[in-house]
Amino acid sequence: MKVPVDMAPEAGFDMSPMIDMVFLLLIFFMIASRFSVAQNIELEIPTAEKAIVPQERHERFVVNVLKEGGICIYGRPEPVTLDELRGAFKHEKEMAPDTKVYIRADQDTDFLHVRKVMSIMAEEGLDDSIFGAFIPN
Amino acid sequence: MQTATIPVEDPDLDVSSLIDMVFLLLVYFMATCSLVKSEGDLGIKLPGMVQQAVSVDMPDEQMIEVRADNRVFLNGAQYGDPNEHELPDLVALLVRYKLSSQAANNKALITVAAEDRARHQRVIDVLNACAEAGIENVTFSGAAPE
Repeated sequence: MKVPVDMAPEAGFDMSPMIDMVFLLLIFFMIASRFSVAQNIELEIPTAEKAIVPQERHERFVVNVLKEGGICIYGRPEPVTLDELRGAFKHEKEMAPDTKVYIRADQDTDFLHVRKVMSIMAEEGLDDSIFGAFIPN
Repeated sequence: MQTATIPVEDPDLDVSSLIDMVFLLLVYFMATCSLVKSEGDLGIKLPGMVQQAVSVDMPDEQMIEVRADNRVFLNGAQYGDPNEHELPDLVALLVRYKLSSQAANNKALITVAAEDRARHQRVIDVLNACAEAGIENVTFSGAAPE
C-alpha cells in the first residue's frame, strides 16, 4: 500500500524586507549627499558650546571668510573685493532691510579679515550679524 | 486520444541584478556622502546710529582684549588658558559683572578688542563666554589695541 507523504515545501528566503531597507537607505544617502552639495563653501568654522541651532534661517546674507583672508559671498565661489562686498551689502539692504549677515569665518583666520567685513557692514547700516559656529559633541 | 501538453512554468522575475545595482548605488552614496553638520548661531548686534535728540542710557562697559597669542585680558588681568577653548574664570567674572550692572540699573556691555592677528576661534571663545554669562550686548572695537 502506498502511504501519501506530504511534500515539504522548498525552503525559501523572503528578501522583500531587506530590499525595502536597502531602498530606504539608498534614498536617505541620496538626499543627504544632495544637501551637502548645497552647503556653503567648506570651512573649518569655530566651535562654541553656547551656539544655538536656529529653527529658521530666512533673510540671511552669508559671508564666508577664508583662512587666508579671502571673502566669498553666497552664490559666488570666487573671492570678492571689498568694494564688491560693499555693493552687495548695499543691494541687500535695499532689497531686505531686516537682513542679518551670517559670518562664516575659518577658525584660524586672522580677526583682521572679519573686522573688515564688520566695518563695511556698519558703514552700510547693517548692524545685525551672526557668527557661524559648530556645537562641539 | 490523449495529447501531450508542454507544462508551462510559472513566470518568475529575477530580481538579483536589481539588488546588485541597488547595493552598488548604496555603497557609492555611502562612500561619497559627507553628512551635514548643523551650524549654530552666536549673534551680536553692532551699535547703530542714535539720533541726537534721543537720550541714551549710558551702559556699564567693560573691554576684553584678545591677543594674537590666544591670551585674553580684562582690566589688565589674564583669564583662561591660551590652549583651552573654555574660559571658566572669565565666565564667573562676567556673571558677577552682569548682576552688578542689573543692580545698578545699567546695561552690561562688553567691547571685544581683538588684535589684528588674533585667531577668530579665540574671539568666538570670548563671545561664547559672554553668551554663557547671559550678556547680550557685545560690540567690537574699531582698532586693535597696541
